[in-house]
Amino acid sequence: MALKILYLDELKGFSRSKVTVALWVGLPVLSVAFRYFRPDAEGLPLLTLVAILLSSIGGTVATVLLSTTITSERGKGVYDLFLVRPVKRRDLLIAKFLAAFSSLFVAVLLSVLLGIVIEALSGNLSSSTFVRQNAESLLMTLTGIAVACSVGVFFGVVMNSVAVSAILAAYLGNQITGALLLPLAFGASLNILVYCALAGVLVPALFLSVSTLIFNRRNG
Amino acid sequence: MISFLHVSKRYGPIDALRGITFDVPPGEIYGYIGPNGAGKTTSLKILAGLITSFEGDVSIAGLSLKHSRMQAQALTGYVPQNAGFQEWRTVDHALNTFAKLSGVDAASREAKIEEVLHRFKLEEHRKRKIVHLSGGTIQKLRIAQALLHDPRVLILDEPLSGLDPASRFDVKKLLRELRDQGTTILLSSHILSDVEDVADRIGIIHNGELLKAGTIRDLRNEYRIGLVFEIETDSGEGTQRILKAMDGVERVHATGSDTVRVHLRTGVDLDAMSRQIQCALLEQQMTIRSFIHESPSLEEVYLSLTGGNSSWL
Repeated sequence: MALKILYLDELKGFSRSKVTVALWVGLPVLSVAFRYFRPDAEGLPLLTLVAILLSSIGGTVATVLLSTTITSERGKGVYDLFLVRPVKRRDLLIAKFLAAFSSLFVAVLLSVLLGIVIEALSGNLSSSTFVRQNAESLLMTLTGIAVACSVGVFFGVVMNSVAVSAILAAYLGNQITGALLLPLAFGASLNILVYCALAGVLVPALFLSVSTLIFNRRNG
Repeated sequence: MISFLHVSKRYGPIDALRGITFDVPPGEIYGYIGPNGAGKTTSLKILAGLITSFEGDVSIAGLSLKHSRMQAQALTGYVPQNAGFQEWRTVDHALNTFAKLSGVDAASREAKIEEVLHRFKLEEHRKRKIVHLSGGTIQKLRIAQALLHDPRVLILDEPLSGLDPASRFDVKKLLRELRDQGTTILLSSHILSDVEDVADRIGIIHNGELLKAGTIRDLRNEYRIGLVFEIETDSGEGTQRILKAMDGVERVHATGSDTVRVHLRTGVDLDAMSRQIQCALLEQQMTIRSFIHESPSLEEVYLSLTGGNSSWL
């Protein structure tokens, strides 16, 4: 119950953030621009490239946003007013993670849907692999974003300085997300669905668990 | 209602609390006083369930914070010293969220929010973002959020800081009303006159130890302090000179051009000393304009207990 309240509450907060609104507009525009200019992908499918691009940019923004928000809110004692109620620290972090992920999910979904419209207008909709490729692209993007959000939560909990938190989250968040998505770009034999399901669930779960442990330890 | 039993807490090499033990019965205001860094906030955070790792036992209404933290928290309202609010929140939104998290049901939530907004005169700020409010208004909001679920126990950490005199008066009145309705209140403050105004009993904490607990009257009697006269004559300087030479006088200092404050040694007979001082002054042909026996302040009790450490006053 508390998790649901916290999640809806955080979602409201994210939806009012200028950064989130910029992502909701920016990512679809970027996706369209990418498809329009069709850069040399050196053999990579365009949709894979789009997925990497979206998860990289969206993920970086989400990582920095989450890490700086959590670090700053911890410093200001914002969580005290929540934690004196029957609320678990774990739920606070999960709610933040889910709200950030949901906000980005909307941006990514808009990007993919816009891409589909453009492809349809270009007459590529009849391609037999079209649906599969788009689904895989979406899955890869969401995996990247889930990992990025969990890294953001981690640095938000670990760091005490907002600036350091932002720098580390931006750099390492991108590296970790990129490293996880790289096998998908070049490992032709990988089952994307299985890989994304594993990486998109296990890695965030790991980061969130460690974050919760540290959060409990630091404040308890 | 509140029970602290041999509670100790360490932060690395520092002992923040050392075996603190006290009880607060239902419907009492307990003033928790001490200098900065004495351990007040740590104690209150333990009681509010924010600090979960400590030695000893703390319970609220028989519910141990170690084993039934969430049940105990449901009975408790907490006003933190400096807690902030997220930048995007409005007053209304914050109160709604905290009411939901405190278990206030949907049917009574709106009425409850309106009640606390009215009580703290926050109606006009309802739709405003909290970051745009003044410090005093935010402090009122901190207190308001703690009352949303009609807690049986109210914990307040420096609640009167940042409030204007009218708001301080209102909050103190509110605390008395809540006490009369059966709410148990633990109030921490370094403004001793505020504690003195509302507390039924006080606990003095210093360096993580509870030095003394009791009613203010008990403490005054026990420490036999408060043997203070304030005297106005036609010559403050002359009065000081005469009084300083008298046995039984501990110290004398001017509080105005013709007014002096006389602190007597503990153990002296107050009535005899009063007569003796007046005779001495009259013998020197001095005119006594006023002669007041001053009630001892909590500050004096504290200073007496801590050996004169007044760095926090």
